[in-house]
Amino acid sequence: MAKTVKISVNHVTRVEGHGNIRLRASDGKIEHVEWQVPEAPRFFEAMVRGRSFEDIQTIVSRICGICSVTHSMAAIKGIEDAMGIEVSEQTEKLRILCHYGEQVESHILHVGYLVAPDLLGQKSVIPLVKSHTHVVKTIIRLHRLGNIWMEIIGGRMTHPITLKPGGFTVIPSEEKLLELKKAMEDAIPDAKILIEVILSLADKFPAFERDTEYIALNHPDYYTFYHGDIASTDTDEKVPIREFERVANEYISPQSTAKWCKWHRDSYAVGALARFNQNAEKLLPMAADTAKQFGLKKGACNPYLNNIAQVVECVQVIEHGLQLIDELLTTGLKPEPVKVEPKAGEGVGCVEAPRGILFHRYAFDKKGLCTKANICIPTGQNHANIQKDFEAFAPQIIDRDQDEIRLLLEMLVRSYDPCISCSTHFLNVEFV
Amino acid sequence: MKPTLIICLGNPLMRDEGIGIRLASELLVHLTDNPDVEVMDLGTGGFSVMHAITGRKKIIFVDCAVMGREPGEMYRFTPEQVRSKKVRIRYSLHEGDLLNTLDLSQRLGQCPDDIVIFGIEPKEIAPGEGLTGELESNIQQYVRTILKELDRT
Repeated sequence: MAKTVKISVNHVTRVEGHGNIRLRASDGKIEHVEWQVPEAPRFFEAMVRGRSFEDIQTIVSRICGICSVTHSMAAIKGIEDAMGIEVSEQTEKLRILCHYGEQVESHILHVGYLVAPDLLGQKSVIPLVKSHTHVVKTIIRLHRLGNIWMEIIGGRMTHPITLKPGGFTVIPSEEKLLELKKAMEDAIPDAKILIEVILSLADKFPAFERDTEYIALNHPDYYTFYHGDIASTDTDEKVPIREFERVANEYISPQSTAKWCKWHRDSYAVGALARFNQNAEKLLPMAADTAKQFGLKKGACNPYLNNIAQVVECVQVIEHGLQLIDELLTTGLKPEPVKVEPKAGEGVGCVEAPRGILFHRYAFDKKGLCTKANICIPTGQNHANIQKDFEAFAPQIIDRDQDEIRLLLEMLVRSYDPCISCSTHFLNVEFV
Repeated sequence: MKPTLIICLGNPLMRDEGIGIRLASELLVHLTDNPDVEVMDLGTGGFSVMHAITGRKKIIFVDCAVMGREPGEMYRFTPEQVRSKKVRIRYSLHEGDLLNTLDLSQRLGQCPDDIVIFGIEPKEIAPGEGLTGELESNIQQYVRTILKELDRT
């Protein structure tokens, strides 16, 4: 039967663009399918120019309320690279630990508050409070762990204040690290509950696969979020982070005010699944076992499985976080005064944000004032891939009910865990 | 845990959207050593509100709010008095909405009964540091009004 499908999901305001889905089809044939991103321009790069290297972390930590540790770390690594600053092993361990707290918080929020309602057939987490109270409370306890974690190491629940070029302004006490360790150990049974819940619903993820180029940091020895080179699943080449521009190849798309990216193909994907596809064999035992329970294997190319990879990573960072705390407590924490003499230079910082690889490039003059900044965010790197997924997936589902098509495409966008516009959260209310 | 918590929200890099964060630093001048009142800068970390409010007696939110009033006007209201006009389609964790988070907390039984929001109507929400004159000139008045609210506890 001839069928016309028209889907148009809009959400655009001046400073809160959230992306649009457009689909038009007739007689079962897709005429037009598009992922549009009407994002505000990336003004933060302009904002840091002319500012002292000492101010950069404070500014970029406000780019995003969810990824504030990640942006802070990319910035301070970039500054340290530009000025030739070496940091201690203790600093590196504490940074990685702090970053793990953000991974847990972000992944749990995403899987628990955005993905779980899709799998349980609800429009949001609110109805789940009544129908799945136990699940929601588990998710909230795990989310709280992420908050405590960042507060203990980063000095604040969000927008950290202890992370600086050269080291930490304040290090946690042994007592606080032990408190964090206990909270992490107590969270393991909750993580197991979450795994069981998602496992029981895993068949709700659409069985859509598309051969995709995945890009993430790669380290020969461990599952990395912080160290390593840039790697693609398409080649064996390892690219130093200082050369990230030849990986990202940012370009302008008429569909978007955000820049798009491509490397060996028309698009590539970043995020938890990309990291898994780069580093799966280096997962710690509990995390590897979690991946096994889900049947998640290296080479997976179903974008919806990014959510499963996020669950696996939650286990990985708790497991490795516990190891790091033990190492720090064994060697003993020592206050390390941070003193950085500014120096002219250019450098790159790169870390894995919860939603994928993030690059910051800065140049400074001899007084330490920023003369150039370039920030390449993971969601920008995923936009072209979302479009390519749409083009491949829409024809496969076009015979379904229009509402179902819309939901499946929305779920596809959600699976990438995009950070589309995150710099404002102001209230917009009417009085009742 | 101090029984009263003032949560200041916003982004100081988005002009008037940063009013909450500016007021956090002003309020700390008066309240740092207060044994009963804590001031917290939660920036744009929306969902963290849920954990910050649990177990408290009174919560005061300070945030930029588009309410259809004159720029610079501060207005006191409770969550029950308003409805969010935000359209949420759940693409992203970044669609923070305070009212939605409070709703979730309430349903979970984690929400204190005494919640007050001080909304400040912005003149301009756009990239840039510093408040517009309409808000800047009222800072001390805002501080006095919020401090007076503590007497109602």
